[in-house]
Amino acid sequence: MDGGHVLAPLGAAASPYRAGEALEPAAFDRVRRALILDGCKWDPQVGDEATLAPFPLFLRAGAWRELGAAAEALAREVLEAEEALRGSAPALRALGIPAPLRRALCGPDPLTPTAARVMRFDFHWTEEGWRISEVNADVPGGYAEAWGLPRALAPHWPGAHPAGDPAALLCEAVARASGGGLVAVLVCPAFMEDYQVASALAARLRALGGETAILSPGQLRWSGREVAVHLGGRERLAGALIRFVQGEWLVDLPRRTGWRRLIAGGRTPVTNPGQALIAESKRFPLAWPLLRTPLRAWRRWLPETQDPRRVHWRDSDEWCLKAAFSNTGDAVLVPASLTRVERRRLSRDLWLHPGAWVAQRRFSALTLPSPLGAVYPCLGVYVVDGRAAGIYGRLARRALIDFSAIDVAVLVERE
Amino acid sequence: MTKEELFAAWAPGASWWSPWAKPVLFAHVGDWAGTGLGTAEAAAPAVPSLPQWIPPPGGTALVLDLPGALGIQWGVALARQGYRPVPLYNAAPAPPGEASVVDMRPLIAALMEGAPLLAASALPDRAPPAFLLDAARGGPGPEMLRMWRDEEVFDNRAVSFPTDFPSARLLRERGIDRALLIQLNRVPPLDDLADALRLWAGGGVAVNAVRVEAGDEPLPLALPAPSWLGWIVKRALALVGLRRNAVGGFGAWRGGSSA
Repeated sequence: MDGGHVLAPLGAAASPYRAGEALEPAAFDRVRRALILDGCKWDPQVGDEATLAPFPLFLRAGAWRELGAAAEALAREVLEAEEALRGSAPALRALGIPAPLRRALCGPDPLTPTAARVMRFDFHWTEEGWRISEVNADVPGGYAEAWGLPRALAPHWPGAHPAGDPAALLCEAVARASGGGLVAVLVCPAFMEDYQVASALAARLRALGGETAILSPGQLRWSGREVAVHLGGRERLAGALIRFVQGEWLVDLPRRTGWRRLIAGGRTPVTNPGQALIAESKRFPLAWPLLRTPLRAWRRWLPETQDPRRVHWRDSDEWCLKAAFSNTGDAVLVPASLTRVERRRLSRDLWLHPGAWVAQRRFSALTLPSPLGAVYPCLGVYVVDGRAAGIYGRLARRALIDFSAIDVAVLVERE
Repeated sequence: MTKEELFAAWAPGASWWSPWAKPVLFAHVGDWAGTGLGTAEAAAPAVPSLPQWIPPPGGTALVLDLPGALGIQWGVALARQGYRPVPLYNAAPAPPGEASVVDMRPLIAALMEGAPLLAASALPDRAPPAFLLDAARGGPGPEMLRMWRDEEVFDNRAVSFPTDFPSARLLRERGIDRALLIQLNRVPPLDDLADALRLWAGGGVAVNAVRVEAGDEPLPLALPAPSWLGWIVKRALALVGLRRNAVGGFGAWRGGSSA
């Protein structure tokens, strides 16, 4: 879906999607069990919340084309910005990127080659049309939900189809980059929701005929500048590595892991590369004045973003505050909804770490009636190596997508 | 027995508590087909008769934090008494033939062995839950660093999160207002589990604890808030991504957000 910069107006017209009816419970139970036993979906229940919606979200075909084109345009601009910013230590500092990562990105070593690029842009339908809340440029997940869930539901609605299979595109690209060699998948132990993604990607790579090894960061080893994997009592060189460990976590690893070579100085192609942290930072818009590129797509779809010190956020419900590196919506705070104690704590943290936060103007996401009641949908559009590749659908009961969000199959209606 | 049959035995669709059963171990059962696991390796001792202090099924949820397959054996015995065992084992086993930090083979074998017994127990759908955890989920303690450095060992350590359990509100809605923590030889819960129990206690579920080996009677469990130092350490760990916060997110502050 290249679309050639087709940035058609996306004003608040008719809703671009609708919720389908819930699948009959026994049929949905079969879908759920197939996903958890065969699809690496190992967190189907989070607290009291079942995280798989028993109904699909039908997206108009035209809306999918628009979203795909928008995501591709946004991805192109990310690459342009990375190229311009990655050698600038002041810019990287402004983004809140930790010093060891800055040194790696700005150091004398060439950047480690990229195996494939995958990003996921989170779109929300608002009173003003589409808005993005962020890009997951570093380690986006959700592949099983983006493909396995819609694929399982699609046969029940012959008039619609999944938007795409981002894991397939990603794994094909990584397999090509590996030259048919072993692909290492790096993931932190104990984080099952990360491990399930790593397992799913490893399974897809094996289905392509490749060989994989899942490693914890402590098992990262190098032979010269190449990733070495110890398997069956002997050392093997990896042809590529999928890094499913967030970039900002790398700095906490022991030096002996040689993690810096995942960013620069390595020869083993890595997905995603270290420069992905530039757009992953929620402070990315604060670096735009340093760029020559106009970033038209970003300026169009991302709400106004400011340094928190420049706006009056304390008693306002117009702003939300985000940690520069936050995940699954866990550090997105709406000051007006905080208690006095929480607000004081936030103020203190902002005073101590002003470069670790950003203020983003809130947008009015529109709710959608569904079998679960009114929900806020979020459509995470994947772009793999420049190409829109699929949608990870989530629903929230409040205007914040976090780890309690419910995964929903997005099916594109046939025209 | 296929993984679908095994999972259906341990998490039947109609049971109130099946949604909380962790699927990851079951998803890997197929890897072990033909390896003999579930027969010879299930060297677990016969299930002992249950202590008198096990409350009759009713308003109590049991939490068994016992090492290895012991919790599963207890779970099977408790099923005979009217409790629904809910496996919360959230670690993947190493591929066959490879070593792992936490050996999951005895657990797979015990799950296989216990499945027919569970199926025969004909538990009611609303049978009260007995949540099963592996007390060795965090790895072998002092050995951890050595294991961490060992390239050949599959790192499958796991952490229990409050979001692995139903909330106190839901428990109470379903008629459960007490919980009993059963451990082998310690009273205080492990740190990760303490977070969940603290939330239960705060939500009106009275939490007792008992040590199996000591022959104690259950006693109320004190669950003090983490110390200031402990909070700082925990927050630091959460911020660097080594441990999640109390509600299962990464480094969040707000305990109010559900996971």
